Amino acid sequence: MRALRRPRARATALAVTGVALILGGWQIVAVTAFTRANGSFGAIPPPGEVARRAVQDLADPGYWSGLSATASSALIGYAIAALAALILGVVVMLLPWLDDVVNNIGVIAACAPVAAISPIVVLLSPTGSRAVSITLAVLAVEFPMIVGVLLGLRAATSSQVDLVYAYGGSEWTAIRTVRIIAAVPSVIAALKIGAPAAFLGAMTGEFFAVGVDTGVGRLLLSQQYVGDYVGMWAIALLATLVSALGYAGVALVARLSAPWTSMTGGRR
Amino acid sequence: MDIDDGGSEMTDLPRKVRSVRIPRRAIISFLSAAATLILVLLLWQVIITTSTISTYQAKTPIDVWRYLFVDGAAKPVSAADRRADLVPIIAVTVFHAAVGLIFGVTAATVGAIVLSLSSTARAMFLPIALVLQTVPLIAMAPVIFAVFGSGVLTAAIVAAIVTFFPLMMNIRAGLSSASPETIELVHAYGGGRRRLLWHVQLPAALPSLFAGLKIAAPATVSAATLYEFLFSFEGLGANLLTSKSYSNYPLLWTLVAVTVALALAAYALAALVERLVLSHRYPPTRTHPSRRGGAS
Repeated sequence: MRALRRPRARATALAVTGVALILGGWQIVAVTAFTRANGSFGAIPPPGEVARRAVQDLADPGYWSGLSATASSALIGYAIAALAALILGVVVMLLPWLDDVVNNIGVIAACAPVAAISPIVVLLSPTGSRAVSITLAVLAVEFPMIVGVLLGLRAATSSQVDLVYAYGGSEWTAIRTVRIIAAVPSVIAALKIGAPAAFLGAMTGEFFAVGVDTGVGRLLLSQQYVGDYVGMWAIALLATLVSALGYAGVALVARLSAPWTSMTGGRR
Repeated sequence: MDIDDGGSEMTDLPRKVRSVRIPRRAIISFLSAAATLILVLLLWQVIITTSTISTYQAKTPIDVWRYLFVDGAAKPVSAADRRADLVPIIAVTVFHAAVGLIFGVTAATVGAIVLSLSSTARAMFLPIALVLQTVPLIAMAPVIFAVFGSGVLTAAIVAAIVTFFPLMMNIRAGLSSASPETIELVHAYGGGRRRLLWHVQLPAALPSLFAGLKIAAPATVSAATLYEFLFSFEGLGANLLTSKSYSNYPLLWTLVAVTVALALAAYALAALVERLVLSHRYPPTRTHPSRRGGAS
Protein backbone atom coordinates (compact mmCIF):
# COMPACT_ATOMS: atom_id res chain seq x y z
CA MET A 1 0.00 0.00 0.00
CA ARG A 2 2.66 2.43 1.04
CA ALA A 3 4.83 1.47 -1.91
CA LEU A 4 1.92 2.27 -4.20
CA ARG A 5 1.21 5.58 -2.58
CA ARG A 6 4.68 6.99 -2.48
CA PRO A 7 5.35 7.41 -6.20
CA ARG A 8 2.02 9.15 -6.50
CA ALA A 9 2.86 11.48 -3.61
CA ARG A 10 6.21 12.19 -5.27
CA ALA A 11 4.50 12.96 -8.59
CA THR A 12 2.08 15.33 -6.88
CA ALA A 13 4.91 17.04 -5.04
CA LEU A 14 6.85 17.49 -8.27
CA ALA A 15 3.79 18.79 -10.12
CA VAL A 16 3.22 21.32 -7.35
CA THR A 17 6.91 22.25 -7.52
CA GLY A 18 6.52 22.80 -11.27
CA VAL A 19 3.59 25.17 -10.77
CA ALA A 20 5.49 26.94 -7.99
CA LEU A 21 8.56 27.34 -10.24
CA ILE A 22 6.46 28.85 -13.02
CA LEU A 23 4.66 31.20 -10.64
CA GLY A 24 7.99 32.13 -9.03
CA GLY A 25 9.61 32.83 -12.39
CA TRP A 26 6.55 34.82 -13.44
CA GLN A 27 6.72 36.84 -10.21
CA ILE A 28 10.42 37.60 -10.66
CA VAL A 29 10.01 38.65 -14.30
CA ALA A 30 6.98 40.78 -13.44
CA VAL A 31 8.67 42.58 -10.58
CA THR A 32 12.13 43.05 -12.08
CA ALA A 33 11.41 43.67 -15.77
CA PHE A 34 7.80 44.83 -16.01
CA THR A 35 7.24 47.12 -13.05
CA ARG A 36 7.33 50.84 -13.78
CA ALA A 37 9.27 53.32 -11.69
CA ASN A 38 6.08 54.48 -9.96
CA GLY A 39 5.32 50.93 -8.84
CA SER A 40 2.46 50.24 -11.29
CA PHE A 41 2.56 47.00 -13.24
CA GLY A 42 3.50 46.63 -16.90
CA ALA A 43 2.60 44.12 -19.57
CA ILE A 44 3.39 41.14 -17.30
CA PRO A 45 1.83 41.80 -13.89
CA PRO A 46 2.68 39.51 -10.96
CA PRO A 47 0.50 36.39 -10.58
CA GLY A 48 -0.90 37.37 -7.16
CA GLU A 49 -2.10 40.68 -8.58
CA VAL A 50 -3.77 38.89 -11.53
CA ALA A 51 -5.50 36.39 -9.22
CA ARG A 52 -6.71 39.18 -6.93
CA ARG A 53 -8.10 41.07 -9.90
CA ALA A 54 -9.80 37.93 -11.26
CA VAL A 55 -11.55 37.38 -7.93
CA GLN A 56 -12.50 41.06 -7.84
CA ASP A 57 -13.87 40.79 -11.41
CA LEU A 58 -16.09 37.91 -10.38
CA ALA A 59 -17.87 40.19 -7.91
CA ASP A 60 -18.76 42.48 -10.83
CA PRO A 61 -22.01 41.50 -12.61
CA GLY A 62 -20.61 43.00 -15.84
CA TYR A 63 -18.07 40.21 -16.02
CA TRP A 64 -20.68 37.56 -15.38
CA SER A 65 -22.81 38.89 -18.25
CA GLY A 66 -19.69 38.99 -20.44
CA LEU A 67 -18.76 35.41 -19.61
CA SER A 68 -22.30 34.18 -20.13
CA ALA A 69 -22.67 36.05 -23.45
CA THR A 70 -19.53 34.38 -24.77
CA ALA A 71 -20.50 31.03 -23.27
CA SER A 72 -23.94 31.08 -24.90
CA SER A 73 -22.45 31.79 -28.35
CA ALA A 74 -19.95 29.01 -27.69
CA LEU A 75 -22.73 26.62 -26.70
CA ILE A 76 -24.73 27.30 -29.87
CA GLY A 77 -21.63 26.78 -32.03
CA TYR A 78 -20.72 23.65 -30.08
CA ALA A 79 -24.18 22.16 -30.60
CA ILE A 80 -24.18 22.96 -34.33
CA ALA A 81 -20.71 21.46 -34.77
CA ALA A 82 -21.60 18.29 -32.86
CA LEU A 83 -24.82 17.80 -34.82
CA ALA A 84 -23.09 18.43 -38.15
CA ALA A 85 -20.31 15.97 -37.25
CA LEU A 86 -22.86 13.28 -36.32
CA ILE A 87 -24.75 13.76 -39.59
CA LEU A 88 -21.53 13.70 -41.62
CA GLY A 89 -20.39 10.60 -39.71
CA VAL A 90 -23.61 8.73 -40.51
CA VAL A 91 -23.33 9.83 -44.15
CA VAL A 92 -19.81 8.37 -44.32
CA MET A 93 -21.04 5.09 -42.83
CA LEU A 94 -23.75 4.89 -45.51
CA LEU A 95 -21.55 6.15 -48.37
CA PRO A 96 -17.97 5.11 -47.44
CA TRP A 97 -16.44 6.71 -50.54
CA LEU A 98 -17.23 10.12 -49.01
CA ASP A 99 -14.77 9.42 -46.17
CA ASP A 100 -11.93 11.51 -47.60
CA VAL A 101 -14.22 14.38 -48.59
CA VAL A 102 -15.72 14.62 -45.09
CA ASN A 103 -12.25 14.49 -43.53
CA ASN A 104 -11.15 17.24 -45.90
CA ILE A 105 -14.10 19.40 -44.84
CA GLY A 106 -12.91 18.97 -41.26
CA VAL A 107 -9.37 19.94 -42.26
CA ILE A 108 -10.64 23.06 -44.02
CA ALA A 109 -12.63 24.02 -40.91
CA ALA A 110 -9.52 23.57 -38.78
CA CYS A 111 -7.21 25.43 -41.18
CA ALA A 112 -9.39 28.38 -42.18
CA PRO A 113 -7.75 31.49 -40.66
CA VAL A 114 -10.09 33.38 -38.34
CA ALA A 115 -9.02 36.74 -39.77
CA ALA A 116 -10.25 35.64 -43.22
CA ILE A 117 -13.55 34.06 -42.18
CA SER A 118 -14.62 36.71 -39.65
CA PRO A 119 -14.80 39.80 -41.91
CA ILE A 120 -17.13 38.09 -44.37
CA VAL A 121 -19.35 36.69 -41.61
CA VAL A 122 -19.58 40.22 -40.18
CA LEU A 123 -20.33 41.55 -43.66
CA LEU A 124 -23.13 39.07 -44.26
CA SER A 125 -24.76 39.26 -40.81
CA PRO A 126 -26.68 42.20 -39.32
CA THR A 127 -24.92 44.64 -36.98
CA GLY A 128 -24.93 43.43 -33.39
CA SER A 129 -25.27 39.78 -34.38
CA ARG A 130 -23.12 37.24 -32.59
CA ALA A 131 -22.84 35.16 -35.77
CA VAL A 132 -19.02 35.56 -35.91
CA SER A 133 -18.61 34.09 -32.44
CA ILE A 134 -20.89 31.18 -33.28
CA THR A 135 -19.13 30.56 -36.61
CA LEU A 136 -15.66 30.55 -35.07
CA ALA A 137 -16.88 28.23 -32.30
CA VAL A 138 -18.20 25.84 -34.96
CA LEU A 139 -14.92 25.96 -36.90
CA ALA A 140 -12.85 25.39 -33.76
CA VAL A 141 -14.85 22.29 -32.80
CA GLU A 142 -15.76 20.74 -36.15
CA PHE A 143 -12.54 18.90 -36.95
CA PRO A 144 -12.00 17.14 -33.60
CA MET A 145 -15.72 16.28 -33.64
CA ILE A 146 -15.58 14.73 -37.11
CA VAL A 147 -12.46 12.73 -36.22
CA GLY A 148 -14.05 11.58 -32.96
CA VAL A 149 -17.37 10.62 -34.54
CA LEU A 150 -15.75 8.67 -37.40
CA LEU A 151 -13.38 6.92 -35.01
CA GLY A 152 -16.33 6.03 -32.81
CA LEU A 153 -18.67 4.80 -35.52
CA ARG A 154 -15.89 2.52 -36.73
CA ALA A 155 -15.15 1.24 -33.23
CA ALA A 156 -17.89 -1.40 -33.41
CA THR A 157 -16.27 -4.81 -33.91
CA SER A 158 -16.86 -6.47 -37.25
CA SER A 159 -18.60 -9.41 -35.55
CA GLN A 160 -21.17 -7.03 -34.05
CA VAL A 161 -21.84 -5.47 -37.44
CA ASP A 162 -21.87 -8.91 -39.12
CA LEU A 163 -24.52 -10.05 -36.66
CA VAL A 164 -26.80 -7.20 -37.70
CA TYR A 165 -26.29 -8.10 -41.36
CA ALA A 166 -26.86 -11.81 -40.64
CA TYR A 167 -30.28 -11.00 -39.21
CA GLY A 168 -31.15 -9.10 -42.35
CA GLY A 169 -30.34 -5.63 -41.07
CA SER A 170 -28.97 -2.90 -43.30
CA GLU A 171 -26.07 -0.54 -42.63
CA TRP A 172 -28.66 1.92 -41.30
CA THR A 173 -29.80 -0.73 -38.77
CA ALA A 174 -26.18 -1.33 -37.82
CA ILE A 175 -25.69 2.41 -37.26
CA ARG A 176 -28.79 2.68 -35.09
CA THR A 177 -28.26 -0.46 -33.03
CA VAL A 178 -24.51 -1.03 -32.80
CA ARG A 179 -22.37 1.78 -34.12
CA ILE A 180 -23.98 4.65 -32.16
CA ILE A 181 -23.35 2.83 -28.87
CA ALA A 182 -19.79 1.93 -29.85
CA ALA A 183 -19.18 5.57 -30.80
CA VAL A 184 -20.02 6.98 -27.37
CA PRO A 185 -16.52 6.88 -25.80
CA SER A 186 -14.68 8.64 -28.60
CA VAL A 187 -17.53 11.10 -29.21
CA ILE A 188 -17.30 12.02 -25.53
CA ALA A 189 -13.52 12.42 -25.84
CA ALA A 190 -14.09 14.79 -28.78
CA LEU A 191 -16.80 16.67 -26.89
CA LYS A 192 -14.38 17.20 -23.99
CA ILE A 193 -11.68 18.63 -26.27
CA GLY A 194 -14.32 20.69 -28.07
CA ALA A 195 -15.64 22.51 -25.01
CA PRO A 196 -12.59 24.74 -24.36
CA ALA A 197 -12.09 25.20 -28.10
CA ALA A 198 -15.68 26.41 -28.54
CA PHE A 199 -15.42 28.94 -25.73
CA LEU A 200 -12.15 30.42 -26.92
CA GLY A 201 -13.37 30.34 -30.54
CA ALA A 202 -16.42 32.37 -29.52
CA MET A 203 -14.11 34.73 -27.63
CA THR A 204 -11.90 35.20 -30.71
CA GLY A 205 -15.02 35.97 -32.75
CA GLU A 206 -15.76 38.94 -30.51
CA PHE A 207 -12.51 40.57 -31.67
CA PHE A 208 -14.19 41.00 -35.05
CA ALA A 209 -17.85 41.50 -34.18
CA VAL A 210 -19.38 44.88 -35.04
CA GLY A 211 -21.99 46.38 -32.74
CA VAL A 212 -21.47 43.71 -30.09
CA ASP A 213 -20.41 45.11 -26.74
CA THR A 214 -20.77 42.14 -24.40
CA GLY A 215 -18.46 39.16 -24.02
CA VAL A 216 -15.01 38.42 -22.65
CA GLY A 217 -13.38 39.09 -26.03
CA ARG A 218 -14.79 42.65 -26.04
CA LEU A 219 -13.69 43.11 -22.41
CA LEU A 220 -10.18 41.94 -23.29
CA LEU A 221 -9.91 44.36 -26.23
CA SER A 222 -11.34 47.31 -24.30
CA GLN A 223 -8.80 46.77 -21.52
CA GLN A 224 -6.08 46.51 -24.10
CA TYR A 225 -7.09 49.93 -25.51
CA VAL A 226 -6.74 51.55 -22.09
CA GLY A 227 -3.57 49.60 -21.21
CA ASP A 228 -5.09 47.82 -18.19
CA TYR A 229 -2.63 44.92 -18.19
CA VAL A 230 -3.72 43.39 -14.88
CA GLY A 231 -7.29 43.37 -16.17
CA MET A 232 -6.21 41.68 -19.42
CA TRP A 233 -4.35 38.91 -17.62
CA ALA A 234 -7.27 38.48 -15.23
CA ILE A 235 -9.59 38.00 -18.21
CA ALA A 236 -7.20 35.52 -19.82
CA LEU A 237 -7.17 33.62 -16.52
CA LEU A 238 -10.96 33.67 -16.20
CA ALA A 239 -11.42 32.60 -19.84
CA THR A 240 -9.02 29.69 -19.32
CA LEU A 241 -10.87 28.68 -16.15
CA VAL A 242 -14.27 28.80 -17.87
CA SER A 243 -12.98 26.72 -20.78
CA ALA A 244 -11.47 24.23 -18.32
CA LEU A 245 -14.84 24.15 -16.53
CA GLY A 246 -16.43 23.31 -19.88
CA TYR A 247 -14.06 20.36 -20.22
CA ALA A 248 -14.77 19.23 -16.66
CA GLY A 249 -18.52 19.72 -17.15
CA VAL A 250 -18.62 17.47 -20.20
CA ALA A 251 -16.48 14.92 -18.36
CA LEU A 252 -18.89 14.96 -15.41
CA VAL A 253 -22.00 14.58 -17.57
CA ALA A 254 -20.24 11.74 -19.41
CA ARG A 255 -19.35 9.99 -16.18
CA LEU A 256 -22.92 10.23 -14.88
CA SER A 257 -24.69 9.26 -18.09
CA ALA A 258 -22.21 6.79 -19.58
CA PRO A 259 -20.09 5.57 -16.67
CA TRP A 260 -18.32 2.91 -18.74
CA THR A 261 -16.53 5.63 -20.71
CA SER A 262 -14.89 7.30 -17.73
CA MET A 263 -11.72 5.27 -18.19
CA THR A 264 -11.36 6.09 -21.87
CA GLY A 265 -10.83 9.01 -24.08
CA GLY A 266 -9.17 11.44 -21.71
CA ARG A 267 -5.69 11.90 -22.97
CA ARG A 268 -3.17 9.43 -24.10
CA MET B 1 4.89 6.30 -65.45
CA ASP B 2 2.43 3.51 -65.00
CA ILE B 3 -0.16 4.71 -62.58
CA ASP B 4 -2.87 2.10 -62.64
CA ASP B 5 -1.19 -0.89 -61.08
CA GLY B 6 1.61 0.98 -59.35
CA GLY B 7 2.08 0.78 -55.63
CA SER B 8 -1.33 -0.47 -54.64
CA GLU B 9 -1.18 -1.36 -50.98
CA MET B 10 -2.16 -4.93 -51.74
CA THR B 11 0.75 -5.79 -54.00
CA ASP B 12 4.03 -7.06 -52.63
CA LEU B 13 6.23 -5.07 -54.94
CA PRO B 14 9.70 -4.48 -53.59
CA ARG B 15 10.20 -1.11 -51.91
CA LYS B 16 12.45 0.28 -54.62
CA VAL B 17 9.95 -0.32 -57.40
CA ARG B 18 7.11 1.05 -55.39
CA SER B 19 8.86 4.24 -54.46
CA VAL B 20 9.29 5.20 -58.11
CA ARG B 21 5.60 5.07 -58.91
CA ILE B 22 2.81 7.22 -57.64
CA PRO B 23 0.92 5.21 -55.03
CA ARG B 24 -2.80 4.82 -55.66
CA ARG B 25 -3.44 6.22 -52.21
CA ALA B 26 -1.86 9.54 -53.28
CA ILE B 27 -4.06 9.73 -56.36
CA ILE B 28 -7.20 9.05 -54.33
CA SER B 29 -6.34 11.70 -51.77
CA PHE B 30 -5.51 14.18 -54.54
CA LEU B 31 -8.84 13.51 -56.26
CA SER B 32 -10.78 13.79 -53.01
CA ALA B 33 -9.02 17.06 -52.19
CA ALA B 34 -9.99 18.40 -55.62
CA ALA B 35 -13.58 17.18 -55.12
CA THR B 36 -13.78 18.87 -51.72
CA LEU B 37 -12.43 22.10 -53.15
CA ILE B 38 -14.97 22.10 -55.98
CA LEU B 39 -17.72 21.30 -53.47
CA VAL B 40 -16.73 24.24 -51.25
CA LEU B 41 -16.51 26.65 -54.20
CA LEU B 42 -19.91 25.47 -55.50
CA LEU B 43 -21.46 25.93 -52.04
CA TRP B 44 -19.99 29.43 -51.83
CA GLN B 45 -21.34 30.32 -55.28
CA VAL B 46 -24.80 28.87 -54.59
CA ILE B 47 -25.16 30.49 -51.16
CA ILE B 48 -24.29 33.95 -52.49
CA THR B 49 -26.41 33.74 -55.63
CA THR B 50 -29.49 32.40 -53.83
CA SER B 51 -29.28 34.72 -50.81
CA THR B 52 -30.82 38.16 -50.67
CA ILE B 53 -27.57 39.88 -49.70
CA SER B 54 -26.57 42.66 -52.07
CA THR B 55 -24.16 41.56 -54.76
CA TYR B 56 -22.26 44.78 -54.08
CA GLN B 57 -21.04 43.33 -50.78
CA ALA B 58 -21.22 39.59 -51.38
CA LYS B 59 -18.86 38.24 -54.01
CA THR B 60 -18.71 34.79 -55.55
CA PRO B 61 -15.73 32.65 -56.60
CA ILE B 62 -16.34 33.92 -60.16
CA ASP B 63 -15.95 37.52 -58.94
CA VAL B 64 -12.67 36.58 -57.27
CA TRP B 65 -11.52 34.93 -60.50
CA ARG B 66 -12.45 38.09 -62.43
CA TYR B 67 -10.58 40.25 -59.89
CA LEU B 68 -7.47 38.15 -60.30
CA PHE B 69 -7.48 37.41 -64.02
CA VAL B 70 -9.84 39.65 -66.04
CA ASP B 71 -8.62 43.04 -67.22
CA GLY B 72 -10.95 45.92 -66.41
CA ALA B 73 -12.97 44.04 -63.79
CA ALA B 74 -11.77 46.21 -60.92
CA LYS B 75 -9.87 49.36 -60.15
CA PRO B 76 -6.30 48.95 -61.37
CA VAL B 77 -7.42 48.15 -64.92
CA SER B 78 -4.81 45.53 -65.62
CA ALA B 79 -5.38 42.26 -63.76
CA ALA B 80 -1.62 41.73 -63.75
CA ASP B 81 -1.25 44.96 -61.73
CA ARG B 82 -3.85 43.74 -59.24
CA ARG B 83 -2.00 40.44 -58.85
CA ALA B 84 1.31 42.26 -58.49
CA ASP B 85 -0.18 44.37 -55.68
CA LEU B 86 -1.05 41.20 -53.78
CA VAL B 87 2.45 39.70 -53.88
CA PRO B 88 4.13 41.90 -51.22
CA ILE B 89 1.09 41.53 -48.93
CA ILE B 90 1.26 37.74 -49.17
CA ALA B 91 5.03 37.80 -48.70
CA VAL B 92 4.70 39.63 -45.36
CA THR B 93 2.24 37.04 -44.03
CA VAL B 94 4.30 34.13 -45.33
CA PHE B 95 7.33 35.62 -43.57
CA HIS B 96 5.43 36.00 -40.27
CA ALA B 97 3.99 32.50 -40.46
CA ALA B 98 7.25 30.84 -41.54
CA VAL B 99 9.33 32.50 -38.82
CA GLY B 100 6.62 31.64 -36.30
CA LEU B 101 6.59 28.03 -37.40
CA ILE B 102 10.39 27.77 -37.18
CA PHE B 103 10.36 29.30 -33.66
CA GLY B 104 7.46 27.07 -32.63
CA VAL B 105 8.90 23.82 -33.98
CA THR B 106 12.37 24.50 -32.54
CA ALA B 107 11.07 25.40 -29.08
CA ALA B 108 8.62 22.49 -29.11
CA THR B 109 11.33 19.99 -30.12
CA VAL B 110 13.70 21.23 -27.43
CA GLY B 111 10.89 21.14 -24.86
CA ALA B 112 9.86 17.63 -25.87
CA ILE B 113 13.45 16.35 -25.69
CA VAL B 114 13.92 17.88 -22.24
CA LEU B 115 10.66 16.30 -21.06
CA SER B 116 11.74 12.97 -22.51
CA LEU B 117 15.26 13.03 -21.02
CA SER B 118 14.44 14.14 -17.50
CA SER B 119 11.76 12.36 -15.49
CA THR B 120 11.88 15.18 -12.96
CA ALA B 121 11.14 17.81 -15.61
CA ARG B 122 8.38 15.56 -16.90
CA ALA B 123 6.75 15.22 -13.48
CA MET B 124 7.02 18.94 -12.89
CA PHE B 125 5.82 20.38 -16.18
CA LEU B 126 3.81 17.69 -17.98
CA PRO B 127 0.60 18.35 -16.00
CA ILE B 128 0.71 22.05 -16.87
CA ALA B 129 1.54 21.34 -20.51
CA LEU B 130 -1.38 18.91 -20.70
CA VAL B 131 -3.73 21.66 -19.58
CA LEU B 132 -2.22 24.37 -21.76
CA GLN B 133 -2.29 22.30 -24.95
CA THR B 134 -6.10 22.22 -24.79
CA VAL B 135 -6.31 26.00 -24.37
CA PRO B 136 -6.43 27.65 -27.81
CA LEU B 137 -4.00 30.43 -27.00
CA ILE B 138 -5.02 32.33 -30.14
CA ALA B 139 -7.79 33.88 -28.05
CA MET B 140 -5.03 35.41 -25.92
CA ALA B 141 -3.42 37.26 -28.86
CA PRO B 142 -4.11 40.69 -27.28
CA VAL B 143 -2.21 39.63 -24.15
CA ILE B 144 0.73 38.35 -26.21
CA PHE B 145 0.68 41.63 -28.12
CA ALA B 146 0.71 43.58 -24.85
CA VAL B 147 3.80 41.68 -23.71
CA PHE B 148 5.81 41.79 -26.93
CA GLY B 149 4.61 45.10 -28.32
CA SER B 150 4.39 45.86 -31.99
CA GLY B 151 7.44 44.84 -33.94
CA VAL B 152 8.59 43.00 -37.01
CA LEU B 153 8.53 39.69 -35.19
CA THR B 154 5.51 40.00 -32.90
CA ALA B 155 3.21 38.28 -35.39
CA ALA B 156 5.74 35.45 -35.61
CA ILE B 157 5.93 35.23 -31.81
CA VAL B 158 2.13 35.04 -31.56
CA ALA B 159 2.23 32.25 -34.15
CA ALA B 160 5.00 30.42 -32.29
CA ILE B 161 3.27 30.61 -28.90
CA VAL B 162 -0.04 29.45 -30.35
CA THR B 163 1.55 26.34 -31.87
CA PHE B 164 4.06 25.54 -29.11
CA PHE B 165 2.07 23.37 -26.70
CA PRO B 166 0.17 21.16 -29.18
CA LEU B 167 3.40 20.58 -31.13
CA MET B 168 5.46 19.80 -28.04
CA MET B 169 2.92 17.29 -26.76
CA ASN B 170 2.79 15.61 -30.15
CA ILE B 171 6.57 15.33 -30.43
CA ARG B 172 6.81 14.10 -26.84
CA ALA B 173 4.27 11.37 -27.52
CA GLY B 174 6.35 10.36 -30.54
CA LEU B 175 9.63 10.32 -28.58
CA SER B 176 8.11 7.93 -26.05
CA SER B 177 6.56 5.70 -28.72
CA ALA B 178 9.67 3.57 -29.35
CA SER B 179 9.06 -0.05 -28.37
CA PRO B 180 10.72 -1.37 -25.20
CA GLU B 181 12.43 -4.06 -27.33
CA THR B 182 14.17 -1.44 -29.46
CA ILE B 183 15.27 0.47 -26.40
CA GLU B 184 16.64 -2.70 -24.80
CA LEU B 185 18.47 -3.51 -28.02
CA VAL B 186 20.28 -0.16 -27.91
CA HIS B 187 21.15 -0.71 -24.24
CA ALA B 188 22.31 -4.27 -24.94
CA TYR B 189 24.79 -2.98 -27.50
CA GLY B 190 26.09 -0.45 -25.03
CA GLY B 191 24.32 2.55 -26.51
CA GLY B 192 23.79 5.49 -24.20
CA ARG B 193 21.02 8.00 -23.74
CA ARG B 194 22.19 10.17 -26.62
CA ARG B 195 22.42 7.28 -29.08
CA LEU B 196 18.95 6.14 -28.06
CA LEU B 197 17.57 9.62 -28.65
CA TRP B 198 19.28 10.12 -32.00
CA HIS B 199 18.85 6.69 -33.56
CA VAL B 200 15.62 5.45 -32.02
CA GLN B 201 13.48 8.12 -30.42
CA LEU B 202 13.81 10.95 -32.94
CA PRO B 203 13.03 8.73 -35.97
CA ALA B 204 10.14 7.20 -34.02
CA ALA B 205 8.83 10.71 -33.32
CA LEU B 206 8.65 11.71 -37.00
CA PRO B 207 5.07 10.53 -37.65
CA SER B 208 3.67 12.41 -34.67
CA LEU B 209 5.86 15.42 -35.48
CA PHE B 210 4.23 15.59 -38.90
CA ALA B 211 0.78 14.98 -37.42
CA GLY B 212 1.42 18.04 -35.27
CA LEU B 213 2.89 20.04 -38.16
CA LYS B 214 -0.17 19.52 -40.32
CA ILE B 215 -2.19 21.46 -37.75
CA ALA B 216 0.59 23.84 -36.67
CA ALA B 217 1.51 25.07 -40.18
CA PRO B 218 -1.97 26.42 -41.03
CA ALA B 219 -2.37 27.59 -37.41
CA THR B 220 0.66 29.86 -37.79
CA VAL B 221 -0.99 31.45 -40.86
CA SER B 222 -4.13 31.91 -38.80
CA ALA B 223 -2.28 33.41 -35.84
CA ALA B 224 -0.15 35.70 -37.99
CA THR B 225 -3.15 37.06 -39.91
CA LEU B 226 -5.12 37.56 -36.69
CA TYR B 227 -2.24 39.57 -35.26
CA GLU B 228 -1.94 41.59 -38.48
CA PHE B 229 -5.69 42.24 -38.48
CA LEU B 230 -5.83 43.43 -34.88
CA PHE B 231 -2.56 45.22 -34.34
CA SER B 232 -0.60 45.98 -37.49
CA PHE B 233 -0.79 47.71 -40.85
CA GLU B 234 0.80 45.08 -43.04
CA GLY B 235 0.17 41.59 -44.32
CA LEU B 236 -3.02 39.83 -45.38
CA GLY B 237 -4.71 40.39 -42.03
CA ALA B 238 -4.31 44.17 -42.06
CA ASN B 239 -5.40 44.39 -45.70
CA LEU B 240 -8.51 42.32 -44.97
CA LEU B 241 -9.43 45.03 -42.46
CA THR B 242 -8.61 48.03 -44.67
CA SER B 243 -10.28 46.63 -47.79
CA LYS B 244 -13.43 46.14 -45.70
CA SER B 245 -13.32 49.65 -44.24
CA TYR B 246 -12.78 51.12 -47.74
CA SER B 247 -15.69 49.01 -49.01
CA ASN B 248 -13.40 47.46 -51.62
CA TYR B 249 -15.39 44.24 -51.60
CA PRO B 250 -13.85 42.53 -54.64
CA LEU B 251 -10.44 42.92 -52.99
CA LEU B 252 -11.81 41.79 -49.60
CA TRP B 253 -13.20 38.55 -51.01
CA THR B 254 -10.03 37.95 -53.02
CA LEU B 255 -7.95 38.39 -49.85
CA VAL B 256 -10.25 35.99 -48.00
CA ALA B 257 -9.75 33.39 -50.72
CA VAL B 258 -5.98 33.99 -50.79
CA THR B 259 -5.68 33.73 -46.99
CA VAL B 260 -7.65 30.49 -46.79
CA ALA B 261 -5.68 29.14 -49.76
CA LEU B 262 -2.42 30.04 -48.01
CA ALA B 263 -3.45 28.14 -44.87
CA LEU B 264 -4.52 25.13 -46.94
CA ALA B 265 -1.25 25.31 -48.88
CA ALA B 266 0.63 25.22 -45.57
CA TYR B 267 -1.32 22.11 -44.63
CA ALA B 268 -0.71 20.52 -48.03
CA LEU B 269 3.01 21.31 -47.86
CA ALA B 270 3.28 19.66 -44.43
CA ALA B 271 1.35 16.64 -45.73
CA LEU B 272 3.56 16.43 -48.82
CA VAL B 273 6.81 16.59 -46.84
CA GLU B 274 5.37 13.98 -44.49
CA ARG B 275 4.64 11.68 -47.40
CA LEU B 276 8.10 12.18 -48.92
CA VAL B 277 9.95 11.65 -45.64
CA LEU B 278 7.91 8.81 -44.23
CA SER B 279 7.21 6.79 -47.37
CA HIS B 280 10.80 5.55 -47.40
CA ARG B 281 11.02 4.77 -43.73
CA TYR B 282 7.70 3.38 -42.65
CA PRO B 283 4.94 1.23 -43.98
CA PRO B 284 2.64 3.65 -45.82
CA THR B 285 0.51 4.73 -42.91
CA ARG B 286 -1.52 7.85 -42.98
CA THR B 287 -1.19 9.91 -39.85
CA HIS B 288 -4.12 11.87 -38.65
CA PRO B 289 -3.48 15.48 -37.85
CA SER B 290 -3.36 16.07 -34.15
CA ARG B 291 -6.79 15.81 -32.61
CA ARG B 292 -6.30 18.48 -30.07
CA GLY B 293 -4.88 21.89 -30.06
CA GLY B 294 -6.69 23.11 -33.13
CA ALA B 295 -5.48 26.62 -32.73
CA SER B 296 -7.57 28.21 -35.41
